[in-house]
Amino acid sequence: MQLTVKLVGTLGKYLPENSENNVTEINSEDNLTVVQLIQKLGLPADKPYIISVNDEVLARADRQTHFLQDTDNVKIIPPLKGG
Amino acid sequence: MGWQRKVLRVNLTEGNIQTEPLNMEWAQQYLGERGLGSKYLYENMDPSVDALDPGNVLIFATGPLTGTMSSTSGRYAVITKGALTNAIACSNSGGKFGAELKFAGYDLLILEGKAPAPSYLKIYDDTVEIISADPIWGKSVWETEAWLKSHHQDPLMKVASIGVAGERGVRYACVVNDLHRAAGRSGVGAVMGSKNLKAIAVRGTVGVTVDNPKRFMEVVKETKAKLAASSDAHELTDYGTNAMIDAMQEFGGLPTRNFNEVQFEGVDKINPAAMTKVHENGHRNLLANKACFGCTIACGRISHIDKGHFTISNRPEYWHASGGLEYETAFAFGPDCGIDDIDALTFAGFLMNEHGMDSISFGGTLAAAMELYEMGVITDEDTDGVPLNFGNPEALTIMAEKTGKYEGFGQVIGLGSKRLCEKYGHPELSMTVKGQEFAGYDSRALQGMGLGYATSSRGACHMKHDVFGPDMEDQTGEGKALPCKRSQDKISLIDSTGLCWFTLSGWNIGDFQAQIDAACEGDWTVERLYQTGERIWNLERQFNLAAGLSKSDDSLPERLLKDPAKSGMAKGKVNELGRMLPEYYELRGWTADGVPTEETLERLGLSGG
Repeated sequence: MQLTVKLVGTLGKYLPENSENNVTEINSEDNLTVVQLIQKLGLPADKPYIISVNDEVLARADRQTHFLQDTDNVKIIPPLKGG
Repeated sequence: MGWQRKVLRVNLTEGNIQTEPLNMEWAQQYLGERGLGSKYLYENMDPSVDALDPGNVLIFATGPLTGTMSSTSGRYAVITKGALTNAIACSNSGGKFGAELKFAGYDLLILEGKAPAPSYLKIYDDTVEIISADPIWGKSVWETEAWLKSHHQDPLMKVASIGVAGERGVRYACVVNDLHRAAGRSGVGAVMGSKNLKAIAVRGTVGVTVDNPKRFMEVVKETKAKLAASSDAHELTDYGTNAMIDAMQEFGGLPTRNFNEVQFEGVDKINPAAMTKVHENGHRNLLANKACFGCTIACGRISHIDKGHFTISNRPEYWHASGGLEYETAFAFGPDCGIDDIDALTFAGFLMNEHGMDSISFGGTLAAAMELYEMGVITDEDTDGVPLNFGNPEALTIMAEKTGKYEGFGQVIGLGSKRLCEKYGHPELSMTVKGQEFAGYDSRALQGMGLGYATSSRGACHMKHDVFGPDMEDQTGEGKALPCKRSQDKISLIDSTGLCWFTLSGWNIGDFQAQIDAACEGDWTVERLYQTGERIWNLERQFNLAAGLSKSDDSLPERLLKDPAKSGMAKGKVNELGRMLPEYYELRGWTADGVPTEETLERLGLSGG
């Protein structure tokens, strides 16, 4: 399946070099969870990211069990802080 | 120790200068900085007096860790009744001034009354003088600091001062120290101006001692190593606070055009990538980062403006490097005013520092004026002929300068958005709580943030609570009251240490506890620290209730409660304050009207005043 993945802001450093606008297309085997996607991209696993699939926030509890589908649009937003 | 055990009290009306021992019973109950300053304020003034009345008291407070070896130990706070809010104000700043005040031997500087003529205060350890400010009254912050250092032939002097905005009562005038660090919010600079006090110039050589030096050095080494290993802290170093703008844009919580929208189409032109972009002429906005005293994070930005930009092409006095865009300034001048010109934003930021104004409140007020202009309520006749349409970078920079110099329509912008919107018959367009403008987080997307805004003792503020984690988990009000309350207590405590809460990027409350326990007398447990924070929060509430505020001031503008977010991950949602607030009051041990019960006051040692 093919996924469109956007790594927002400071997470852009984990994108492949040829990515534009912080977006990359990923070809993946089926039955991929968001947690597995984070591992695949090389992002630190222990951060409280905001993750949306097709612009719907995915609850933390569902990140190990929700299987991504072909053509899904995934956005990973870095943890929010004050400032 | 940790504390200097000494308070400097200056009555400006009488010209009386005296020192007194720090009340150590209060120090054990309120720690320092925000907490101890609030206690002294509460005990030294009638909260019902007007903020600009000589009866208001202005306190500069350090914490027990200010000026020590701890990371980020440059913090101090200005505590008073706020000119913008008429509520208790606690504005926190970094730079080097706070540590210098501590080195001069003082935990607190208490300023009472009003000087009969413009004056400044010079503090060299035990030698304290009130001196005529005639040569610098009417000058900018930058001119004032340069003049003081030159006049006293002391480049190492540290200065906190106000600009014309503070002298003339711009409601959100701030106190600027070290050229571009500010005790920014709630109008503490206007209070200083109302006292005819232009500046405080300090040199200190006394040093700071701690209770258990060996243990303190050990925990400082451990906590600095922890920060150095934190990837979150590194992100603050590398990107500064403006990294938040991309996250808020994607999340749909970036207030745009006076909170009419929650995403801004021009964000790519003002984000951290834009700050580091090298243009065809070789210009790059960001030059370097900068740390406050003792800080090992260095989130500050140092920028310069393209010399060909319309703002400075004929003004070489602005061709130098100075404080660059932080997130709140970028949000308030950018999305909130619909402007995507990074040089205009940077220039307006320079003007805020030069003239001593809070960028959040200025931007929020200009955004409200822009909405009124587009509605036809404000016209070119009002604005000195400047078109105030959203997206106009000239409107931003011209009004920033006019407000800083208190000229023309700048005097109206200087009212703050609440008073401005009331003046033009549209109070509903003011995006404020207790008269203070919101920071760059839309509370339709961040529900707990909305509760924090509504209940913050100094009015809308993003720095008095930390509910980001729960707010990211879901976009409803469920379960937000407890983390809001708990984080308010925690941050009240951190604000009272003399350290910066950006250290939470690598530390937990235990790291603060270890340093406080080693530096200060007494047994400081995590539980005791939380209770200290809760005591401070309730004391601030007591001040505000005595000042005449009530439950009705714990509110949000109707726009956030009734107009759903138009896009983003919280599309269709409004803030659920009505659901969260009763739960919050109950958790606080307050009545349904938001008044601390006698039982709560008794538990916190606040009973009987």
